[in-house]
Amino acid sequence: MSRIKKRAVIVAVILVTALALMFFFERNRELSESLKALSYPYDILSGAASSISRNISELFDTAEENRRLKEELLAAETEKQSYSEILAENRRLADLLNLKQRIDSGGMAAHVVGRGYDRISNTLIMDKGSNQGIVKDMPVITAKGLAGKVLSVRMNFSDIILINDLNFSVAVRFKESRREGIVTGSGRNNCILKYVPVEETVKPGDIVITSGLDGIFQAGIPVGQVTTVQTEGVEFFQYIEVEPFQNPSKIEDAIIISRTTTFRETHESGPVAETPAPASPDGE
Amino acid sequence: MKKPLQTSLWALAAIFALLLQPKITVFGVPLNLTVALVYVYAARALATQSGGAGFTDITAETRAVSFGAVIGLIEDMMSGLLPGINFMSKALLGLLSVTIFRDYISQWTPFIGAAVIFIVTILDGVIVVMMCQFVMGIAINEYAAMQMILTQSVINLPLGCLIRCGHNISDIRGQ
Repeated sequence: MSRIKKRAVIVAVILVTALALMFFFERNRELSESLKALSYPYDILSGAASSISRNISELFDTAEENRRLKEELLAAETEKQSYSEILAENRRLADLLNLKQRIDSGGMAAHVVGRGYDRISNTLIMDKGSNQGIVKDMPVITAKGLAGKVLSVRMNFSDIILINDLNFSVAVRFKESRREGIVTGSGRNNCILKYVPVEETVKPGDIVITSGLDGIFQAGIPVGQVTTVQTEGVEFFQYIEVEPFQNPSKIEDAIIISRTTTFRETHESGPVAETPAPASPDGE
Repeated sequence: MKKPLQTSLWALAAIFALLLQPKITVFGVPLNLTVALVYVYAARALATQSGGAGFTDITAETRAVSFGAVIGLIEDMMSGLLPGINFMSKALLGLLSVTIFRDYISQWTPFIGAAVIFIVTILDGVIVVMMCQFVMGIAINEYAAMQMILTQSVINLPLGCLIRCGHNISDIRGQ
């Protein structure tokens, strides 16, 4: 028998068997249905494969979710930062409001917009000027204490000379002893208290407030506290260093008050009591 | 020792093919791995067959047909189709694969391999669709069915390029 004939036999066998199968199972649908039970191992394997596939899919989903969560965390961190900024600003403004309430004729809240153009002197630029009623030599205070005074005024801006500038001076007195003196800037972060006689007892920690005798600053504005006292090697007056309550390099908002404004000296320890910091979002 | 191992491997391959076939889809079309498996089996059967005369001359055909028939029958039972449809198509394709390489192609090339598996896959699809329509009376959208069959054929193309079929065809022919 040739190969072709043999193949024809095979084809015939295939066709006959297939048709017989189809005919048989067409007639016996129940048996056909019961044969489905043979697919049980397949169903188990299929379930396992599906589970593996799902796990792999979940693995990729997890990676994707991880990436998404990282992005969200970054966004949340950024948001938290801005929230912290808002909280800090809120605190500062609350302090300013508290301060304003202690100033009889109010004052003008101003925001620092930049450092002075002159890098040599310690000045700030604030966002209030002559249009808002600011005039030269108006005192500038913060919730912590004296910050400086208006050096020059433009229409909507003004330059503030800070308390630590060499060209700044203010008449002061000790809060306890009521002894008078003059505080001038040192060009660094602290100030020098001048004209306190050697025989006067001064110790570090003594609080210095404005005396109002200079005709510029109202009496009672907290200025700073004594950090260094030197009585030896001097002639008539002691060498006293005063650390301002308001760090000149950390001013963001301030109140510019008029020279006729009276300042109620209500604080106990010098600087104006600060508003308690609200709880930060991270619970710190 | 070698034969049981080979049988186990083929059984394992069949299980994987049957298992993965409905799970993996390309453009929404499930793969037709069983056709590819039968084709590969036929190719191996032909390649390992020694030349000779008489009935042993068609050992490769019988092996391919048997393998295709078993795979087809299992597929029928699993798919819920009337037993006999895939049985017929896979058995015929096993025979066809061996016949093409033995009688019509003197030298295997990747292109020829791809063409053969492409044709074989299309024929399998056509047989199954026709049997479903005419024997089982299932209404089938011919356009969608052709699209599916063509996609399956294209997916199987790389396999035809890779599986070297009948590398010693001249020897097998015994000429």
